Amino acid sequence: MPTEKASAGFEETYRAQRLPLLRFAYLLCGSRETSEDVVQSAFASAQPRWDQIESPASYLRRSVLNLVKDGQRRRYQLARLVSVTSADPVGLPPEVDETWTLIQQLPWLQRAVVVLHYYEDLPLVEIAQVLKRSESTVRSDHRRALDRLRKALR
Amino acid sequence: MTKESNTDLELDQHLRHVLQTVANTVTAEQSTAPAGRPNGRPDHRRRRIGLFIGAASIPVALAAGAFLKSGPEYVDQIPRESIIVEGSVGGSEYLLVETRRTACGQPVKGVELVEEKENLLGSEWNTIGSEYGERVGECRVDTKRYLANPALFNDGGTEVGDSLVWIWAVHPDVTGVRITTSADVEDLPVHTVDGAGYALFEVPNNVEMYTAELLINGEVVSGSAEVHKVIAQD
Repeated sequence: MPTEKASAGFEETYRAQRLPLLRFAYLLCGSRETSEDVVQSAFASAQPRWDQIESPASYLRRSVLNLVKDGQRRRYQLARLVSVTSADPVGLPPEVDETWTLIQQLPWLQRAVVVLHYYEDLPLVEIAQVLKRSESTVRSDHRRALDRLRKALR
Repeated sequence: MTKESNTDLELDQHLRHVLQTVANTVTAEQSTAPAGRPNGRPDHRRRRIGLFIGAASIPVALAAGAFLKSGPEYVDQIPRESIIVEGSVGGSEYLLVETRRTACGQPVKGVELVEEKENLLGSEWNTIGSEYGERVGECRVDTKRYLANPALFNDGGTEVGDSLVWIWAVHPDVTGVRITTSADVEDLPVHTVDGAGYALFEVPNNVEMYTAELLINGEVVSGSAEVHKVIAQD
């Protein structure tokens, strides 16, 4: 049962972290609706054990990442020729839009590495811990993502 | 982006700029508003599926009929023997068929949902597919972890006509998918394709929430339950 003090901390964290988490989730999944769902789920799952969580911001980020990953795994695996747009439309400058489109087309783990490294500013060694993958695998994912983006943007 | 910016440092800066710019499009106010419809389908029906645990609906168009067709790029004949389920929902006909797609030079396993009015003869294919397992890279689907745990599955939904259809790709031992609404319990049949099971649920328009559980010979598979919320957005 959360204590009154813990409850106050929870509300404060919710107010401070909700928007940053929504942005983080959006970069990972490309859907505002899914971002809302996973951020709500992250807070909901954290609330009962709030007073035991040492670093709420890190915990919530990891929770959001895992929830998006779950969603990715469970989504339809679409056939190659399928015409699907799952991302929400946003008005972006063309050069941003082009790169954002390419980022969304990366395999999910490469996309997660790009978002964690270039948006969350995490070093690759920490990304390996967050994604529960070996450092060499994450370095490989990072290199492949950059190669792909560089080639496409040429 | 220009050629000159393709150095590592410039790409680094460009990616940071792009991600920050995109992130900034999410605001506290906007994030609570329903998103626009990305595929330009009519707005006469505005519902969406939200799953408590993260599976997202994919609003796409599908369709066909036994008289329609399938080629590599354009709608052609769909062989009768590849049709698993024929249905009509929300004023639109649909088929669930064994996929004949290829990717990376290899046949894709699984099924496709084909909505007739979105796949008229001679038009480009507009279907969605479902396959069992975890996609690894561009060309491979790994089923090892899924086959070791019957509670693991892929699922997703789409709009067909004026309604929603949800599809599960499940372990080959799974014999049914139990749908529980406030008014009813229904066990969906599972169809075997390419060594996995597939089940389809036409979500009634009056259902706001339902629970889906996988079954093996009538017994619920532990850890497979998923609660789906259908949210009216009018």
